[in-house]
Amino acid sequence: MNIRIFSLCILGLLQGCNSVNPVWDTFKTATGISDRRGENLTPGIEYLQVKVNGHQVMMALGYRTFPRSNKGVASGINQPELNTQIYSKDQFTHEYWYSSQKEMLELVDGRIYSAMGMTTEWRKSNNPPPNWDSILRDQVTFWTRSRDLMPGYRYGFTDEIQTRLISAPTHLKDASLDTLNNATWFEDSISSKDKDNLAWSYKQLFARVSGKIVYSEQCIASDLCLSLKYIGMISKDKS
Amino acid sequence: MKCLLPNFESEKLNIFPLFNNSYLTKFFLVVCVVTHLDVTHSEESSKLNLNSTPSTLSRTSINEIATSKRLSQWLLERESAGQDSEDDYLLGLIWSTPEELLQQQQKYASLKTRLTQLVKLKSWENTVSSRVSQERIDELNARQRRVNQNFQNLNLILEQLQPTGKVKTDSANARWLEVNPTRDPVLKPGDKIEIPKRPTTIRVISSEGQVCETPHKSGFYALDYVKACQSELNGAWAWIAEPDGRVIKAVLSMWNTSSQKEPAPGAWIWAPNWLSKIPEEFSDNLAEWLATQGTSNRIPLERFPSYIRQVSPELNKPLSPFKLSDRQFDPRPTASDWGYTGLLQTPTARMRGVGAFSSNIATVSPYTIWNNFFQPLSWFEGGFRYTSINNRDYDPGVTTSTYKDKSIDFKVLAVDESDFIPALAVGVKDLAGTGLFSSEYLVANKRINRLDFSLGLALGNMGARGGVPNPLGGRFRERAIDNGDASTGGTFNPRVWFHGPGSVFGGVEYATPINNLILKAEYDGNNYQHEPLGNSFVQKSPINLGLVYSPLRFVDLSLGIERGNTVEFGITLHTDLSSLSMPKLSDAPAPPLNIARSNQEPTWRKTALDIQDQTQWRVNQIYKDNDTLSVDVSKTAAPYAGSFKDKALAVINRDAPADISTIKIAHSDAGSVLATETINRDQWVSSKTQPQRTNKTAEFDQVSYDLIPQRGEPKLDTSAYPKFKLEPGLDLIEQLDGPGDFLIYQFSAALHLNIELPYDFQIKGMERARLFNNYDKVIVFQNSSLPHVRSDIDYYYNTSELTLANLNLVKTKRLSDSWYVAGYTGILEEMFGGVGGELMYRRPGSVLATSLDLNRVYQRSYRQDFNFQNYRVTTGHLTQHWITPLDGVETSLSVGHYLAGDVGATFAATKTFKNGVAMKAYFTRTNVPYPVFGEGSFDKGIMISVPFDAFLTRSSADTAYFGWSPIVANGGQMLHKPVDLYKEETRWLSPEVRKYAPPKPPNDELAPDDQIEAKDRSH
Repeated sequence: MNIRIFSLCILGLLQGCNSVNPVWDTFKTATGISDRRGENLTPGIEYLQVKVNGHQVMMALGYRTFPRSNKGVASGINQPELNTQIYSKDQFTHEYWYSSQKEMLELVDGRIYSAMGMTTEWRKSNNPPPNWDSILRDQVTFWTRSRDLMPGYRYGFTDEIQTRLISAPTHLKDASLDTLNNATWFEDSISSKDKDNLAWSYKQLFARVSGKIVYSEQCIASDLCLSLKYIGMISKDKS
Repeated sequence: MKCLLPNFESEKLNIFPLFNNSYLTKFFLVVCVVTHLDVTHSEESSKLNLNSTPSTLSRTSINEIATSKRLSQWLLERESAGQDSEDDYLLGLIWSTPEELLQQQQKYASLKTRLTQLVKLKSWENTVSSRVSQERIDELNARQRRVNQNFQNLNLILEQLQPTGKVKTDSANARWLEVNPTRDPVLKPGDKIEIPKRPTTIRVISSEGQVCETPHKSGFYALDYVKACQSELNGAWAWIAEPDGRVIKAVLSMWNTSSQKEPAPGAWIWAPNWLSKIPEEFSDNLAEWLATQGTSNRIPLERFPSYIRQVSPELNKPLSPFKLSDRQFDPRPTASDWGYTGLLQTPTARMRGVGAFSSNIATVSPYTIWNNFFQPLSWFEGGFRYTSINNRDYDPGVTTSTYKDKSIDFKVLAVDESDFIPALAVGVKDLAGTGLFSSEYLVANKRINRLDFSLGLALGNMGARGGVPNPLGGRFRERAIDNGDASTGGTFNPRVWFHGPGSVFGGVEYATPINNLILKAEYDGNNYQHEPLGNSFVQKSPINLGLVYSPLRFVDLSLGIERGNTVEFGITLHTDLSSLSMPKLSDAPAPPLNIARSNQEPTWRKTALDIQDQTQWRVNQIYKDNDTLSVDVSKTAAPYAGSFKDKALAVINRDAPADISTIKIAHSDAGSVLATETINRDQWVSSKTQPQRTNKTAEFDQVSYDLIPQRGEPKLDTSAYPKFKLEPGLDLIEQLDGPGDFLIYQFSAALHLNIELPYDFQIKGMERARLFNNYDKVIVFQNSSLPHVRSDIDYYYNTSELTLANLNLVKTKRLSDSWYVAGYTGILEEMFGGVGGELMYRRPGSVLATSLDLNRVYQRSYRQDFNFQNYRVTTGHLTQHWITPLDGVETSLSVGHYLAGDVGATFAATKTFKNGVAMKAYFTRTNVPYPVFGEGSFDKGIMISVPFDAFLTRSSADTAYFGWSPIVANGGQMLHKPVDLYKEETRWLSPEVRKYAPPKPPNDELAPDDQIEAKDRSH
């Protein structure tokens, strides 16, 4: 037998005996042979599927705060009476979603309101978004959003936003339109500035079903645009 | 209420593009509405400030903490009680602890003392001499009065800025802190929490001791606020103390432009006038102090001795399309055709970042140039190149290849750029090659925002146009003809350096607003009439024009017109070796941190195996002595002595019984414990579960070098461990060659053997099975009359496919506190076998070490089996090692008898970055005459070593070596010993050993609170 073929065979056989081989382990990781990552979703937990730059992350609901006067009616679908529910002091529903890497998204009626632990953080939004029902009524709304952004201590940073009712879009980043047959669609046209303070205009999409945003495409920064799909609560039989 | 976190693994949400574009930053223009009323309270203020209102001194009450709780819990309770408000400014939250207050009181005293010292220094500067005129005396006295007044004001400002005890915190978002306990402070009785209302202003302190308050505007930078507050802009730098306690050094001038961060509402800005000559060290300390004060409006403005309220910062003028006045971008030095940082043909005084490595190929007929350049130090750039002269043959008798010339360069930054002084660099091109392109130059650079101008004087090939007599005059007027001796080359030729007439050169570089596009124009100092090997070219124009475009973060493409008639094209690959790192996705998950201690005795064998699995250390023994657990480990130094400690401690903390309060990790090698780290278990657990209670980095471990034997009851049956290790792998040998193939390599399957024997004896070996190589293309010049100790390399790698690289019996031992010895015998390396030993004196923690090695060796057969040839020699060296204070550069000087029987010395200098990547340069001079040595004249080379850990997803202790030596020669060759007492066996004795660690990722891959300011990122 050729010494080279023999050597490779021996190498392959002995590799199995070798408990730690960093080069081999790296090869396995790079090629996905040893992909240990699994999404072991926990029953009884509500999930949000987030996609960013082609990668998928599942975020779990930590809190949902309801307007005190609307207890139990703010959301129509899968509205569980869990200890994740507390009362908000404003008139909006706030949801706090967490990734396993300890990142957090705060959504107010489906819109990103604060984002923590990521390369770009929205430390605080200083004014709430318009009510979806008012946009339904007026068809289009102009409003201003003021935020505190990090990094760079960009505090009091403002965006000009036009939100309007639209027909169903033809293409989505991460959802089938079939599953959103009954959705009401909204589009944000945002005039903003990028990290380098250059003008940056972009659009956001929202699909609303039974009073809840179930799918959206939103940007935290120009290099951090997400699609958010509400998965709902994992039931025990599905787990 | 608790967060419900699921039990699943997923990727981090931030998925960074592999290649990020660098961003051009620009001013953010904000329309400001001036509605303020200004009141000026300064005698010296020359500005009349109208329409400004005092900021509201809005501050909530100070909350004393009564019971221990997390900050997140405290914030949520406050929210539930309705005590929060929309105006709460959490960036300015002050968490005060008694521990930090105590430390700040000491800092405060030393800052005031330093200020007093500066006053005295200024008094000395203005000392009146008896021999000057009365007018001069009056002037000096007036200046002294002003200085006194300024420093008195600064002192009074400091009087107002009393210690607060504020500890730096991360973002105080309660619901985020809840899931990030390491960022969520544990408040204790005696602590205080203060949450200010959102400020609307910024305060600027001048070196005249004046405090200026001006409205905050989103999108404005330090420069805008300083311009609003000071009648003239007379400083290059400002320091921003943000309300969250972080300090940022901001640029104010046109020469030091870089992208910046904004001051947040309530920030302090310290902007000293350059005339004040306040030392940078004082500015750093003052800014750090301001950062302990919370929001700048915390103290009423009226309390300061001199203050103004200023109108809003002026709107910046809109930038032109060319953005020539833009100050918000990061300059990026790029490679020239010849590899050094520069324009096209000519160098500039600019340097790349520390740790930079670039490899570029440029072609400009008839030359094709391959350059490899390194930046080991901020002020030193060096590299080597191969130049192919495409219209000349190498040697028709040897190869059909075109002529290849090897050369070495270096450039030193002599003067840093400042307000009025340009950066100044001196360099030598083709230092020790054949000298075909040898040149020396002096070049200055001055930047004006996006434009960078250079002007220099070149001698030699680069200044062949002439026209400028040598400014050194005398014997420097004439330059000896240095066409190099192509048969040997490689000698230093100081008789030529800086001799002869020269030519000016220079140019300008324009960093366009188009992302990653740089335009270059230069005046070439070479007229190409006296090129090497008899070449001369028509030059239609002395002006060369070009551009550099970077499609990816690590790739530069260049295109230009040179000599007015020749197209240039080049590609450069570059990276920062000092920041190489790879996330450890393949490592075993670290055990969860147990706060509750186990009451049971663990299975110590499992503990040992888990430590080994987590760290790849070798656990020799575990001892328990009352409340102390000692873990004796070896193989812990490479590549990062300290980085695995936390993983080991997590296992130990998980398993150690409740009564263990102290953990000792004893690092053993050379048959002895070299260093012991003593860790307080409680403090370590605390450091992993909550933020520190002071701004000073906590030290929960101590290192000692005491030769105290381990005490206590041994917990491991040491015979249970495997003593025999057979490890398969792949092996790559490579060298850069010349005329044959640029890269000569061998790729093999390898089998590593390690057998541990009683009394610390070991058998180590490696067998290779060649898979493929191209050593048949290596061209070795056999014209040396020296014994062929290295030049038969092609025979060694081509004769047999199965080779025994080495097989040795070795023993190392510590003789006493500072003496170490090693002995070895067998097949020592590919080309020699025999017997040898080394004796070393090295005091623990010392920067010096001395070693002596002596070997009797026999040359091996080309088959690399157990047979030997007739050649035998005694070789050995006395070596002095020194870790210099010069940026930690490590040097060694070895004097002795080499393999070919020659006698001489080898000098090596190594810069090792914190991530373990090292750049090394060396040369050897022996009593072998240059002609006898052959091409290259003497042995020299460059080597880069990179820990595998830097590019693998699994932690590894191995290191990859990439070496370049101009020629494989026989003179000045050392034996490759199987044991390295200094680098490997006693590495724990180095005072530098604990500084090595995987580097933090670049800021654009980190959350804002984890980002590191450029001034704090060390290499």
